[in-house]
Amino acid sequence: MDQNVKLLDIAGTRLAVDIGSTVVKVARVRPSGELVAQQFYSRDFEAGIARQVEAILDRLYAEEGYDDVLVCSSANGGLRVGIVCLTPHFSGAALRNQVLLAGANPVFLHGFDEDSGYASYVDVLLVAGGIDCEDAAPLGQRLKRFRPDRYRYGALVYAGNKYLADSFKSLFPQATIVPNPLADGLSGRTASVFEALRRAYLDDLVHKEGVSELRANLSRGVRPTPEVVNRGFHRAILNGSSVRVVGACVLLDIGGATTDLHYTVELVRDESEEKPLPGSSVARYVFTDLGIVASRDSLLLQMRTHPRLYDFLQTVHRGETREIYRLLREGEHEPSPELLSYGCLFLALDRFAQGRGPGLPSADLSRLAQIILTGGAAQALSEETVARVVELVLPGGGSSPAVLVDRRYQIWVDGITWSGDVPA
Amino acid sequence: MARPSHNAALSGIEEYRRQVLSHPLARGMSPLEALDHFKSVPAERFPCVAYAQRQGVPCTQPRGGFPLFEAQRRLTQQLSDAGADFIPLTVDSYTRHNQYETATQLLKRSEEEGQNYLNGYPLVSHGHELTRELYRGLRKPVSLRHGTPDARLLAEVALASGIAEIEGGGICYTLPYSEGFPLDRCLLYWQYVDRICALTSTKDLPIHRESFGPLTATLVPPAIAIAIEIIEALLAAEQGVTSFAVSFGQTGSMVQDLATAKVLRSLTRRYLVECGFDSVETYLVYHQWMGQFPPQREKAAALIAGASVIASMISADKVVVKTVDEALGVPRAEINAEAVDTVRYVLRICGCLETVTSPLVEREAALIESEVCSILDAVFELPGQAFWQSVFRAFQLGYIDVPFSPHADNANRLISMRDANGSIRIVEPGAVPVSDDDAREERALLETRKDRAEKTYLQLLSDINMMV
Repeated sequence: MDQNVKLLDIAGTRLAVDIGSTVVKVARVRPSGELVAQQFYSRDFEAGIARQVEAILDRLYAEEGYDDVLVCSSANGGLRVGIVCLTPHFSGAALRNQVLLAGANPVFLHGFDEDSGYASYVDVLLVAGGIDCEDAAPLGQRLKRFRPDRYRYGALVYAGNKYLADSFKSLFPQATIVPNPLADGLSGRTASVFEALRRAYLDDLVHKEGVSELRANLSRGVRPTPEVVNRGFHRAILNGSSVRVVGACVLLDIGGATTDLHYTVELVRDESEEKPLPGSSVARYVFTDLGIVASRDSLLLQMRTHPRLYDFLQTVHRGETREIYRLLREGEHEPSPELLSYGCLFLALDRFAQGRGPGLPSADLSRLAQIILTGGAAQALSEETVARVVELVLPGGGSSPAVLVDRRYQIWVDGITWSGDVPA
Repeated sequence: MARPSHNAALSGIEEYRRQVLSHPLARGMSPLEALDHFKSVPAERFPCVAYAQRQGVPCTQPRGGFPLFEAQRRLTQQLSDAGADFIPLTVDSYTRHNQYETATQLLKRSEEEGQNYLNGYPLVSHGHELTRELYRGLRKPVSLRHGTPDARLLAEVALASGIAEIEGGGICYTLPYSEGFPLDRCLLYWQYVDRICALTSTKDLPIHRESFGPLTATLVPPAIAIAIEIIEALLAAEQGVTSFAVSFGQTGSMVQDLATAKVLRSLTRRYLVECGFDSVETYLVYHQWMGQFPPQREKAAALIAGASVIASMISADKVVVKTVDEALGVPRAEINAEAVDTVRYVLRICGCLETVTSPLVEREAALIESEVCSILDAVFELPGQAFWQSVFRAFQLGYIDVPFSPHADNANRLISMRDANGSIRIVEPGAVPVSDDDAREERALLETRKDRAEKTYLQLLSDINMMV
C-alpha cells in the first residue's frame, strides 16, 4: 500500500492518530482492525497541535467520514519517572515494569538507603515498597527518614504498603496515593501505577502541548505511543494480528529521541542479574540515548567508541570502509540517517545481549527467532542489511532470526485498535 | 467465552516450522523426510499398538537418560530385556531450557572424559540421524520425557528420530518446572508441538501425546490435576492429536487414587465428546509416588510394590516406574531394570480383572467430579477468542492453582492438607471456583484427622514427607 494514497471512504471505520514530535500520522482502520490507508503531516508548530489535529479531522470527516477517532502521542518523549523503593528486585522491578508498560521512562531506581538523591528533574517521583501488611516497621522507619528534597520532581506518588499510606500523606501532604502494585502477595499485577502514569502523561501532554484544546472526547483519551506499540507487540505475539511472530522476538521502535526495546521475556538469560518482573510475558526497555535526531550526538559518541565499529561499518556498507571508519572515529564524518538507524539497532542489541543499562537484563540472543523494526527511523532500513547487523551481534550456534521491517506501522495500528488485556 | 474448537488448529504452521528448523542443530531435517522415515518405523513403536496388546495388564515404563550414545543404547537394551513395555528417553536439563550450545559442549566433554556431565540424553545435540540408530531394531514405543516449556525444536528432532510418544504440555511442563517462562507463550509453543504431532500422524498409527498429571507432586488436589489434564487433552485435540494419555501421580491415599482414576477417565472422555473430539483415543497413565522417597531400599521397594498394586486396581494403561534408589540419585541401568522386573512381577500376581471401587471411593469420586466440573465450567466461561486464552486467564485469576508451583503465573493461594486416610483436602481454595458445598465437605473430611499439628507449616511438612 502506498503510504500516501487517498483515504478511502468506508463506513464504520476509525481514524487512528499519532501525534509525534515532528509528524502527525493518521491511519484509517476498518472495524476488523485492517489498515486501509494512512497519511503523514508535518507538525504545524505555528497552529499548535490541537488546532492542526482538529483541522485534519474536520477535513477527513468532510471528505470521507469516520465513526471514531483514537489518539496517541509520543510528543514530549514520555514522562521521566524516578523510583525510590525498598528492594530493587521486588518492589523496584514491579514499579519499573509498570512505568515502562505505561510508556514512561524510568530515569533512576534508588533504594531508600541510597541518600545521594538525583540532580536532574523527573516528572514523577514514585515511592513504594513492601507488600500490604500491618507489621511493616522497616519500611515505616525508612519512610520517616526519606528526604524528597534531594530530588527534583513534578509530582510525588506513593504506591507502597497501604498501611503506611496515611503516615506518608501526613509527612508529605502533596503526595498522591495509589494502590500498592504488589498488594499482599508480591504478585505485581495490580496496574495502579500503570494507570496513574497514564493519567499523569495525559495531564503533562495537555499542559505542555496544548492538547486540551482538542475536543473533549479526544483529549481525554490520548495514550502514550510506547504503550500503544507495546500493546501491538503483545497482540502480535499472542497470534492476534496480521504481524506473525514465530518465536522469541524483539521489537525495536527506532525514533528520533529514543530507541524502544520490546521483547519476549524468554530471551532473558537464566543467570541475568536483572530480571523482568515475574509473571510478565513481554517487557520493555528504553534506550534514551539512542535516537537519530534528538539523541544523535550521544548515539554518534557510542558508535565512535564501540570496539566493533569497523565490523559494524563493514557489515552495513560491505565495501571499502576504512575511510568512513577513520572519519567517523575522528568526528569528521556526517553519517546518513540510515547508518544512524543501523547504529541504533546494533547498539541496542549489543547492550541487550550484555545487559548493559540500568535495569536491563542480559539476553541470550541465540534464542531469538524474530526481530521486528518499527518507527520512523526504521523505515529506510533493508531487511538484508538488518539481518547482517543482527548476525554481527548474535553468538554462534543459533538460527538466523526472521527480520520484519514494519513499513505499514501495523504494530501501532494493532496496538491502538486492540481491546484485549495486557497484564501489567 | 471460548470453548475448544476444531477451528483452533494452528494456521500457517509451515512458516513457524521453517524458522524452528533453521536452527543449525536441526541439521537440515525436513518434515517430509521425517514423515518418510516413520513409514519405515515398525508399528510396534507406536503407543496405540502397545496399548492394544497389553491384555489387561498395565504397560510399564521406567525413566532414564544418559548423555553418551553408547550408554543410552545399553540402557535401552537393558530396560527392553527387563520387560519394559515403553522405553524412556529422558532429556538433560540444559536441553530442556533451550541451552543447546551448553548441552553440546558438555556432551563433547562427556565424550572426551567418559564422564556424565549431563543428567540426560541431549537429543538436540545428538541429532535425529544418530538417534535413529539408537532405536534400530527396537520394537517398542520410545517415550520422550523432558519438562521443556518451549519444546518445539526438541519435538521436531524427536519426531525425525522416529519417536512416537511425546510427553508434556503447555501447563504441565511449565507450572512445575519454570519460574518465569511466560505461560501464554508455553501454551502457544505447545500448540506447535501438538500440531506437528498431528501432521506426522497417520490414521492407524498416530503420534501419541501424553500429559504429565503429577505436576509438582506436592499436595496437588486431584480436582486440580484432573482439570489440567482435561484442558491439555482438549488443547491437543484442537490441534488434531488423536491419541492422548492423561495421567496422575500416586496421591498417598488408595481411596483417592481409585477415585481420581475413575473421574479422570470418565470426564476426559465426556469433555472430549462434548467438544466434538470423539475420535481422540485416550489412555490412563499412573505415576508411582513422585514425592520424597524413603532412602531405605526396603521401604522404597514396598512403596513401589504398593503403587504397582494400585496401578492394577485402577486398570491403568501404563504405570511409570520408580526405583529403590530414587532418594539417592539417578539410578544405574541395572537398578532401573530391576525396578521394571519387580513391578511386572507385582502386576502379574496382583492382576485385577476390573477397576476396584467401594462406597467410600464413589463418595470421593463424586466430590472430585463436582469440583472438576466447577473449575472447567468457570474456565469455559472466561472471555477470550481462543480456548488457550481462557486457560491463560484462568491461571491469572487463580481459578486453577497448583500448590507449590514456582511459576509466577500461579496464584499459590490454594492450601491443601491430608485427612485421616491420607487423602489430599482443599483447606483454603483461594480463587479456585469450588462450590460452597464441596468446600464444606472438604473441610469436614479434613476434620477426620485428629493429630493435626498446631502450626500450618508443620502440618504441611509432615504431609509432604508422609512416605519418608
